[in-house]
Amino acid sequence: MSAASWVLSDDISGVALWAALGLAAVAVVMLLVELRGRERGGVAIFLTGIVAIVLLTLAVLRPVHVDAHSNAVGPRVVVLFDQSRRLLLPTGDDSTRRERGMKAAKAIEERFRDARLSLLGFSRGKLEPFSLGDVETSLPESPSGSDLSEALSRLAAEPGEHPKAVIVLSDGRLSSPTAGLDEPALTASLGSLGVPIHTVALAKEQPRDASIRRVRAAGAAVAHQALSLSIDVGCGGGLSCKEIPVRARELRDGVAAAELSHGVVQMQDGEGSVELEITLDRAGSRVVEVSIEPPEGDTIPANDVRLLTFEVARDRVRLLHLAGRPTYDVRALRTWLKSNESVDVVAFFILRGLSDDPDAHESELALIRFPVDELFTEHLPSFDAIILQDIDAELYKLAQYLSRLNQYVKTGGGLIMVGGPSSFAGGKYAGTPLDEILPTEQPTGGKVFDPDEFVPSYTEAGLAAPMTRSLRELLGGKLPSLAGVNILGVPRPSSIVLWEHPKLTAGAKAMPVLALGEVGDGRSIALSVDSTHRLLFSQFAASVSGRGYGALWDGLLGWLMRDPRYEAARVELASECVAGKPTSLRVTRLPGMSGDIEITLSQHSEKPETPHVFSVKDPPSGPVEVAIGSLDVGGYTAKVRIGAAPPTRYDFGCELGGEAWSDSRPDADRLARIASLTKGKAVAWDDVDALPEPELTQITSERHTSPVLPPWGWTLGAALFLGAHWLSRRFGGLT
Amino acid sequence: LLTEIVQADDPKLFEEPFLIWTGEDAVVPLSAPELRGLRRYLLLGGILFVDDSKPDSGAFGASVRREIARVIPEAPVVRLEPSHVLYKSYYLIDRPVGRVIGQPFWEAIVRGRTAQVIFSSHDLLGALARQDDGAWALDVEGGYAHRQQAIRMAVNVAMYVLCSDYKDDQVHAEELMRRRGRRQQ
Repeated sequence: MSAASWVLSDDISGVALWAALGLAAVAVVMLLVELRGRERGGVAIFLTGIVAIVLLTLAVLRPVHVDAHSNAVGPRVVVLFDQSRRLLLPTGDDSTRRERGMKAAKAIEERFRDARLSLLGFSRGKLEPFSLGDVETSLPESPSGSDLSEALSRLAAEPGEHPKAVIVLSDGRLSSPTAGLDEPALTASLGSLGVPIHTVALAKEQPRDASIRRVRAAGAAVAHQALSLSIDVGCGGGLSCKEIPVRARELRDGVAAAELSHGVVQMQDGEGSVELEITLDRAGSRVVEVSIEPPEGDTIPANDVRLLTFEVARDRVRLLHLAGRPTYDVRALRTWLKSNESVDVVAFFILRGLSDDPDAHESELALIRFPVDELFTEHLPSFDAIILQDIDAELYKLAQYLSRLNQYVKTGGGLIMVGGPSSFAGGKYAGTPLDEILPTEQPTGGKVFDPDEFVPSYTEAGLAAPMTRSLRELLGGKLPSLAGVNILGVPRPSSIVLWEHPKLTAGAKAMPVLALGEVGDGRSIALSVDSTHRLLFSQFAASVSGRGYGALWDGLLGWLMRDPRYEAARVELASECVAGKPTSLRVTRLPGMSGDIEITLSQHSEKPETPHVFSVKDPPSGPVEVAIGSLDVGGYTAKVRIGAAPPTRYDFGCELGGEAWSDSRPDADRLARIASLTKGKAVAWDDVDALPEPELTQITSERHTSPVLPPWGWTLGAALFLGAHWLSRRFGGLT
Repeated sequence: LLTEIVQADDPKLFEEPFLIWTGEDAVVPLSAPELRGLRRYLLLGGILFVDDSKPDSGAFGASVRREIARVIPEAPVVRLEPSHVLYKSYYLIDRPVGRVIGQPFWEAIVRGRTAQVIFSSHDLLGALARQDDGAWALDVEGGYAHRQQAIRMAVNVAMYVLCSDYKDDQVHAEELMRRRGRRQQ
């Protein structure tokens, strides 16, 4: 196909064009005014003047002749495929919405054979080109929703040829535009592309499904403080839904899940909500399972359960300090705890031994009964951590509560055992349930306490541990001479030893003096000396004004309570964990931390299984993503070690349905409204032949330009007519 | 109980956070190193118990107060109220006594929440002193009952040094108030 046209020289700017036309118009007006004074020959004067003006103007504008040849090609059509994992929801015909979408895409390819199709997947962020021949790898499912508004904005912003039409393949349950928008808002959300948007509904029928549609928390989670969860439940597809029971549990590592709350949702028109109040007692990342008991006939059990990870903050640390006798070490620790604004301490010290005779009536004594029973039954869960300092388990009747203490630590509590003659094996703790949760083994016979002075030394882990950094910076790696030490056994497999004895040994290695342990959901510390007060008050301590003591205990208590300042790394999921899909953890090493990365991953279970270990040797600087494979549904604990430093713990949940499956209802009406507003057509997935094909696009393939006259031709003509005009004027009596 | 006599500028001062300064006569002014040593000791959290063995003359007590004022001039001496934890750190005690009955209160320099320098003008150590054969070394004004009370006071001081203000904790408050009320009836 060819076409001819005339255009002005392409080196004429708009300003020059208008200036030339303006001058020509002024000249014509002046010519008409002058004609009034002529005596004769008016026609000749006018004609020669007009022709001269036109020729002069054309000499400036220099028109060219354009001869163009063009071809008709198929229109560009963009197919936007919803990448959301929601499309994996089953339909009634044993396929998924995504499979239906693929069939529809193939039918579109057939139907729009003459068009230039661009196949793009959309979720959030950039559009992903995909090929129908290799859908599994080129169009991965996205857990991040389906944002059609953003996809259209990106199309509009693309340079080059805009499409003639857009075809959206989705179930309509889009993240954006959201449901319920009025017409102006919906139009605005579709952007400025200005082309018809055809929609293909991949599902219209609601499945027989009850699901947890949304869980909202009123504010941040703080340990020991009630948190209100608002749970929206949906039910439809012909299920009989009147009352749906809901419950919330905390999933924990190594122990049974803890029941937090339960309730019943009263359903009305397929929807209902319930408020559940839960209290999480432990800080850090905690996995809460919210589940419903669906009515019979529910076809999608995966969205009956949600696993939510809460980052539980701590307002104040509530701590129980028990001491078997008054000592300088007890005084130092108590004074430090009481001066710490973030610690709420409850203390009980044994001031009167069973054999002591105070020679006074009870009313003359300021002594109260040691409420061991109340503390270890009624009040135990209310404490974040417990410090046992030189207190004999049998003498003071703690022995019968050690199983409870064991469970307390395994379910997230913290424990520090401080040394002294009545601590560890000396306090009859060896072989008890408490022994199991300490970071080191206890000797079952022989010497239990060595009274000799010694100076402990840092281990490699001690020199790398963030919780000892302040102390090392203050004292340059030196430690004071300490008075005596409890005899400890070898460290347990997952324990980290920070200080060791210079002479005494446990097994083939130096005897631990300060060791850390991870037990189930909790942490424990063994400090086998009762003279760390020498970091506060001694000739050694005086050089740093006694600040070493606070630095040590800040670090120990901070690590016990999972204070991020004392962790070696920050750990998070690289993206939502979906059961059965590859998952990665993003590990960011904190300043000063270096070395290989080792992740020990265990699934929350009452009976722990062998954990999986993932290592990264010589990791590059910056955040590192570590692939941890495809996981089953459940809660997980990842313990991440950086070099020799103690591990950082991160708990998370892995869901099958997750957010994407929370609302299984398709929304074909929303798709129809989008099509209607953009003059597109809405069809069902099996009816794409009804989609209109856009007009062909003309593309210019060849273009020739040639000047009508050379510039000198216009100029010569103008000169001739100006001369003739001058003669006419003289003849007509004009000057 | 092991005791050792140390100079105020001796590094050994820092081996124990509890120091007793006792005497009969006025002390000579502390030297600059002694002032520095004692100041460091108190700033580090040590507790100094000043016991006047001859409260009748008061020369020792007055001279020590003068010297302590040079050590920590910013801290005034105040009277310890009957509610202070020193009166309930082990025994419930109404007033301090020693070899002499003396004034019915103790005075102290309180830094932070701690009574760091405690002034006794009762010769408390005199009431506790024994001869080699175990017999009491000195008679106590008021006899056996007051000696017992002095012993209890000494225990309270020791418990205060070892447990700080433990008995001020809320968990003890109600019970101790009840017992005090019963005793006063």
